[in-house]
Amino acid sequence: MERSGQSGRDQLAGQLRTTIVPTIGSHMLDIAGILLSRATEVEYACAMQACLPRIDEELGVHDALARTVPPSYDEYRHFFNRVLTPGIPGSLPPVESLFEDWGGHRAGLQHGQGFYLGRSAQHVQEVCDSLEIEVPEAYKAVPDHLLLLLELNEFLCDHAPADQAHLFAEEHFGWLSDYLDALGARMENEDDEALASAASFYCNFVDLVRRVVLDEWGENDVREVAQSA
Amino acid sequence: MSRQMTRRGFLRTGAASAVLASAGAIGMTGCGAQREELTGEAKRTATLCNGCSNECGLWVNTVGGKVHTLEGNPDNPKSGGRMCGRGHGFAQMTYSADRLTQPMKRMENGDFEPISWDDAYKEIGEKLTSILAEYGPEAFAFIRDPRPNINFYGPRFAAALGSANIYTHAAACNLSLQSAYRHTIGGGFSADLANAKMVMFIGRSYADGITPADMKLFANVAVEGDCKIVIVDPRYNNSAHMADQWVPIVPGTDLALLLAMSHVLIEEELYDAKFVKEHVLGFYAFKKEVESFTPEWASEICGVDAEVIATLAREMAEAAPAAVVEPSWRAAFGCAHANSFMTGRAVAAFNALLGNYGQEGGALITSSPSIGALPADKFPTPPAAQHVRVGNEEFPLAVQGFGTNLAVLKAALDGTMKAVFFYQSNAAKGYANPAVWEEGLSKVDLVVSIDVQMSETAMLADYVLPECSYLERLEAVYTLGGKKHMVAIRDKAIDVVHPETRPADQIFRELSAACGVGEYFDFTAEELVEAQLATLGLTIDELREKGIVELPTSDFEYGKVPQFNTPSGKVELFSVTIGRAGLSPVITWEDRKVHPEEGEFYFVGGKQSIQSHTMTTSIESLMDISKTYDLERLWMNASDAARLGIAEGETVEMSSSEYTDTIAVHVTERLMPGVSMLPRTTAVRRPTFRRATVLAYARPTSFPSTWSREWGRP
Repeated sequence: MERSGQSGRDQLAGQLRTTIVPTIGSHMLDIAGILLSRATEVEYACAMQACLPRIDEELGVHDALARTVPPSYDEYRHFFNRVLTPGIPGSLPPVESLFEDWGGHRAGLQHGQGFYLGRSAQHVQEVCDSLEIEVPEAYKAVPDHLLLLLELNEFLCDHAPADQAHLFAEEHFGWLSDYLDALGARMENEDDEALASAASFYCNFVDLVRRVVLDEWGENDVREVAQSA
Repeated sequence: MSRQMTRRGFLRTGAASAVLASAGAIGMTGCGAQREELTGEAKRTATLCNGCSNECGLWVNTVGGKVHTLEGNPDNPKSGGRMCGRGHGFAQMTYSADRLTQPMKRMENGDFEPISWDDAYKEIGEKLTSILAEYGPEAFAFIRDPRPNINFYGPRFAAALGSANIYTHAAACNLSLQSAYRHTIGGGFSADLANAKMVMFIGRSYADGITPADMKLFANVAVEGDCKIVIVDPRYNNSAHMADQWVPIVPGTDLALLLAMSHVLIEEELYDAKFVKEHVLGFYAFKKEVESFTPEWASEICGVDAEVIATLAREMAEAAPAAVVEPSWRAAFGCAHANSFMTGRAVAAFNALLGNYGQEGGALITSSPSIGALPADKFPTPPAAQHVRVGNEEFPLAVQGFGTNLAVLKAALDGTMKAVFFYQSNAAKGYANPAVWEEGLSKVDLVVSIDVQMSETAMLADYVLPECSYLERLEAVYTLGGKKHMVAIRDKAIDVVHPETRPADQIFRELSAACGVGEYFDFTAEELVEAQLATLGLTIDELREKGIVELPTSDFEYGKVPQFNTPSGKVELFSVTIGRAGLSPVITWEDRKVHPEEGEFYFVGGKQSIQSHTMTTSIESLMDISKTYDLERLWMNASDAARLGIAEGETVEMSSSEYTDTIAVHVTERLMPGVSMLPRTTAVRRPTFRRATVLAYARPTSFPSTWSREWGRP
């Protein structure tokens, strides 16, 4: 798509970028912190109360997330236990390495997907090391967990040269499409309504994150992107 | 929003902005091609494979602290410098998405939620000590997959708590067979394939349950040697391709074949009379018993032509003592049938008639090296339990080292077993009758599972304690018996991947402390290994350098009849011990428990060389092999398929007393008519397991399963 010129669409996209691109914004990061880690009931309630209106205000009818009823804390906890907790059969923790080829053909034993500490994890760790950013011990095996990717992305957007920040985003958020597909397949025949409800909210959030971080707003008509979600 | 209410700040970015400001840029181009290869320091570590119970010796090559490749240790007699595909595939478990990464506790709604190690230990310790106080140590049982490391820690843990209830998975594997050998010749034996002139394999296939060195030997002997190899199996298994003769047989009737071959040896006076006179007890009772078990009689039962039976017996006699019926493992008579125990006795008896024990090319009974007594101050021995192990009275013939885990299930069902711990053993899917195990465990107050992945048993547990993978831990030393004595090491090749997983030695040290018996585990794995090796005159550094070291303790020599560890010191074809347990004291005919009704099929399982029960079905690359080569189909003989109008690949419904499902059919001449076969990784759906999403695992021979198997039926 031609990016030059200042059409009304570009102006709108630029406006959105000003507010939420390239970082996803502090309110969404707060929500990410709640949805991607094991939050307490109070944390969950506070985040939903404080952040959802902001997202609604900024994205409004453009995004499916704003049209999805947030799950209750118990529903989301149930979803987190069943779908996001590592080791539980059928779970899909949001870790980039698990959805990317572990290594090239000379990387040794691990071929294909479904392994921790792949190339993406190695790269994130290297970036963190170079910046003297400490990855928490609990995330030692998953430096490319979506939560850390979002935080690192925000940091880079705030402090690093724009081209490098964009490169990081391009390299480390492309997997979210596959991740959403896997979530869709996982939930396809799920007859647990609470699980399905929470999954819907979670998927819409992840998809919103994906589109914002990958700057799809600038590549497409905002309304088309939002309405296709 | 207050800062406390957010969940941000997972990354500590402290000085990062300053670093960035001074550097101006960061290395952001490394996510793709330049990291095709691992980088960093290369290292080689000795370990033992954990893809099955063979524990082949390996070298693990790591680069930059990550596993890169594995290769067989040439000095290890099991690997012989090679690895099987299963071993390569299973190593992927270390980085697998299916690994448990943190301790878990089952909530009231059935969900699992993380729990800290401290809290898990505290809650388990409180519950277990409360159960022990109220119901006594006999209300606690520990079931394990019996590998050397847990063979040290498991029984010690149970004993420290005063319980004698320590068991293995063997009642779902080869307990009938092993118990039969225990009470007939004093223990297990091996076939001297390298020097034999004729070997009969009953239900065992080296090409399907691969140990690399054995497979290589088998291939060499079969293809280039002058040894006649006979495969007795309802299916033409993958070893049969290299064998001289395939003898298809009705499942569960191997006993008839063996009794008839014994009949031929005795009637035609082809047996080793000298050996029998000097080393056999009960020959005349056995001779009397098999008088009527003619080849014609057996043929009616087992479907093998009478002349073939007689010929096989004569050929074995002619090749004796360099002829042997191989001991087998699980498939044919490990525990599958009501007559499995008697079949094992008949194998041992037939070999005795051949006079092949201790002879070149015969049946070898060898010893294993023993670890000496450890320093009592550092490794105090828990006092012996003051109660009889649950099941010992009801199943008195079971090999003591194995125990009968079904006794635990019975006690769980009747409410007397209050706490059950599992170590890497999947009773709820890998043993017989999964639904009954699920029911039994639901009645137990405290179920704890220590595992690397979330097995179906772990899913039924109250607490799941995640162990790190075998590549991340140092274990108690492994001793290997046989013609040579050896000791091997499973060393830690890489740092723990998931920080909240722990090795068994640490788990038992901490768990025992929480249970008030920490004094029996106040040592590290390294201290244990060093102490064990000291009793053998070795150091851990020596073992780490070579991976395996030969010991000078074997007294094996060909031609020397071994000591039979039976009450009489002889091969017991008539056993007072067995008679007192309520079974026939003399080896005789027993039928399998059920036969197919009109329109039904016999149902057998077959091993896949790339799978080890439920343990490997989460490995995508291994499951891909099973799927790519259509190893998940139900085998059916072509004549049966034609009669039923079933074509290759067609989907059929199969049903048993336990389970009904649909499955694709493989029409083949490689299976005798009237029999159906499923690979053992097939049959029960595991829909929530990301790898084995279509078909996974069950024990085909669990249909039917009863309490009255031969592990010591009273």
